Amino acid sequence: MNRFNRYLIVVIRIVLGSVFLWASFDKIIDPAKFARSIANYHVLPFGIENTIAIVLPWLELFIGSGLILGVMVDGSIVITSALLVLFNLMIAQAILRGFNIECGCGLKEGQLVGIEKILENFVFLGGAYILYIRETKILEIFPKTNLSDN
Amino acid sequence: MNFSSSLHQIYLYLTISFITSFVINLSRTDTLPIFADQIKKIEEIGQINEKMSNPIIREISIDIAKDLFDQNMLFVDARSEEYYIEGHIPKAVCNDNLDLLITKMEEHISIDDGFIVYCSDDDCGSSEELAYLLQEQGFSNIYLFKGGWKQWVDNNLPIEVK
Repeated sequence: MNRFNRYLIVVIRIVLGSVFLWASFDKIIDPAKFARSIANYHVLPFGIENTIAIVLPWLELFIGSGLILGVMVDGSIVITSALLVLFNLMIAQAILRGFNIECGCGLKEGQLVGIEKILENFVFLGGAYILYIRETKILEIFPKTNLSDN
Repeated sequence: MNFSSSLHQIYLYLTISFITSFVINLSRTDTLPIFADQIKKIEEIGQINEKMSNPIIREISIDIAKDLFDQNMLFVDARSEEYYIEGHIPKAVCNDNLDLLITKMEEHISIDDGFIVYCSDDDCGSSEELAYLLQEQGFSNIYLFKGGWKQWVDNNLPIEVK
């Protein structure tokens, strides 16, 4: 693997990690607001939007930090991808049902659900896929790996 | 535990997230209940209170909304102003800026008086969002008309355009 590709992997890790880290902040500060955003999608039963609003931002914070710092990167990538697929399913059903609601994604205040958001998530998913198929693990501090690909 | 395994890493991330989030949530002054309380629905007009000391948001039907309209209760339009201008429930107040909206509301009601919030239709969500924001600002007697503008118009009830 050439040097460019190795650094590209690290850059994608930092960008994707930063996206999840940034997205988690507002939700951690105001979980009640995030719970209402989830409820607006009208897909969850039994009031579990609160449970998700409590847990999900912290999961985003930890996997985002994991990607940036190189901690348990494989696990972070799988969770990241699963979340992005889930987000896209939620947004797609909202669009199909004609809901004109706020995304509640945490990246941009007041952003509405729409095709752009789905495409944006597909770009992030592409990044996650590149990380998933990476051959070399560099600057991953736990589990410990070599700093170079020899 | 094998930390090289993706599956074990996922378990660890989930476990850490669950524990941290619940501990932090319990330690907050504004702890969020683990399961959301569903908004109670008012079935008949007799359950309407003119004033409330404890904050509460309750859902009302089109029939009750109409009765309260006849009784001159204040309607708050949670849609953006561009939709409000195209048509709204008569005498309803609306402003995209929350502080200006509250100023407008306080020209008509005091903080413990009842009022009705509505948006486009059952799926818009912004009426519920605004109701909670107004509750956080101290308003205590809030009625949510989920059928909103669409149901109001579908029932041929009076409208105002400006």
